[in-house]
Amino acid sequence: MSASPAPSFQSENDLIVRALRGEMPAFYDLMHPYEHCIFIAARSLTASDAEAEELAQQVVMQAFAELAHRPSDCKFAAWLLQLTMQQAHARLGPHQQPAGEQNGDYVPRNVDDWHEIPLRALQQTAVRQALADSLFALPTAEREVLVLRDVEQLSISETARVLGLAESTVKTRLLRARLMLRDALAPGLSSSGGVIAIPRPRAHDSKQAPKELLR
Amino acid sequence: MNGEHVWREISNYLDDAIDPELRSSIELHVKGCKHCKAVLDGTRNVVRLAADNRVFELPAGFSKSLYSKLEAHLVAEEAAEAVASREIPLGISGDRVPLGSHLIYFWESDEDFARAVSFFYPGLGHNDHCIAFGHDEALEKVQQVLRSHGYDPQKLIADRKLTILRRHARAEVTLSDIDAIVQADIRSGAKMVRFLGNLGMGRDPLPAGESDVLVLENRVTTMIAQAPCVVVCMYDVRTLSGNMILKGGLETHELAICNEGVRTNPYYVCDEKHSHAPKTVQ
Repeated sequence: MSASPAPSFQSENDLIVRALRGEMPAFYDLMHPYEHCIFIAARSLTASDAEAEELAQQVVMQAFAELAHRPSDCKFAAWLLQLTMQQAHARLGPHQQPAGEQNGDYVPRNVDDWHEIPLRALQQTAVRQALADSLFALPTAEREVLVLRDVEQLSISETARVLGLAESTVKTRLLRARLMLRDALAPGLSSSGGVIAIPRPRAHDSKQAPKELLR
Repeated sequence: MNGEHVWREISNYLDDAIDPELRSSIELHVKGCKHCKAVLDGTRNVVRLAADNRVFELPAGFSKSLYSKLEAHLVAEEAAEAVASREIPLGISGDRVPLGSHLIYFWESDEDFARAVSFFYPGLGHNDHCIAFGHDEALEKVQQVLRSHGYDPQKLIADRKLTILRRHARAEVTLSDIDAIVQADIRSGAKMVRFLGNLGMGRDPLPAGESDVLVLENRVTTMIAQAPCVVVCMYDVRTLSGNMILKGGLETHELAICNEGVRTNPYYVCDEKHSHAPKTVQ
């Protein structure tokens, strides 16, 4: 989900070659389509816009320094996201690192009728904020997977590679993340997309399936 | 199939990563179960919302600030390179010396001589031009040492990486020759010139005398101060008088190459006409 369309493979390779020759304008042109994607990944793993900007600057530095050693079989966007994750993990304290696999399945809590939130509702700041808050409230391990797969639109295998996880682990975390995000948003938004009440995202600790789901 | 089976597969269902049979079973169940429909609809809805790039707006000025750290780093790196480019690795020791340095190296054994020739090695791997200057015996010896280290002196000469300059005239003419070669090297793309001079009294061709050697040493300092050049003068202590070692070797070179490396020479006498301070070793 980059703000600008990614360049074609051929022109991207051309920009890489020129950037490696030291042509800075080529490096800026190469990076420009991915600025939004770097920011989103950085922002989803930091506490503020300012922190995300700082992290993104580090990613740019690293990308510039390691461009020549970029894995050739990796999409440029996926490589940049991998650098972003590495930088984010390096900044997080050990207690903030993604936890290992949680035991048990996440069970949806709210199984009432779902009122569709239309995309146009994202024009409202409060709706965008509710979605962002719900995403920030996810546990780090689930948040990383959801950001890479659903926000950045990487494939399951690319997400697994970026995070150094097995695809099965990515799928498990993705299911948990999507269900958690749904639960976090379920009570707060009206069918028209207007905000009824933005809830404070709750801890995702429910393991008990509502009886309705077990029929 | 019950609700639990459905929501376990919801993510794979949305990613179209299940087989058609399971897909049909889920769809059949969801048709008759409003709770599972709510979970499926809601999950599909949040996946669509998350993919919309309006959720995370770029802060104002983000694009500009994104490269600020890199640009500051590049500016600092360029400045450091500019400083480093005014210094060169000496090769003889692990030291770096500033361009324009004029160093004295006293030697008496073949081993000492070979060590001095290693002055050329860092330059031959780069875009430096090397000049070996002196009497015939020393020039042949320099080429022998180069050959023993895998270099082909004739090819280096042909490639304009190396000049063998025989001393055959008085100081004034010699200085003019050296200056012409250095200027030609710079014009043809050499980043700097490494000049290795050999003084051996009593060796052919003979210098015009001790006073002529002193003139040459003093003028060389002035000349290289204005060029990207480093000069190492080899003094064969077996053939030189005490006066030559003192006046020619110690008083005209601001830096001395010792066994331990480069040292500032306390006996150096700065010629006021040159009006430049002794250089310090980095």
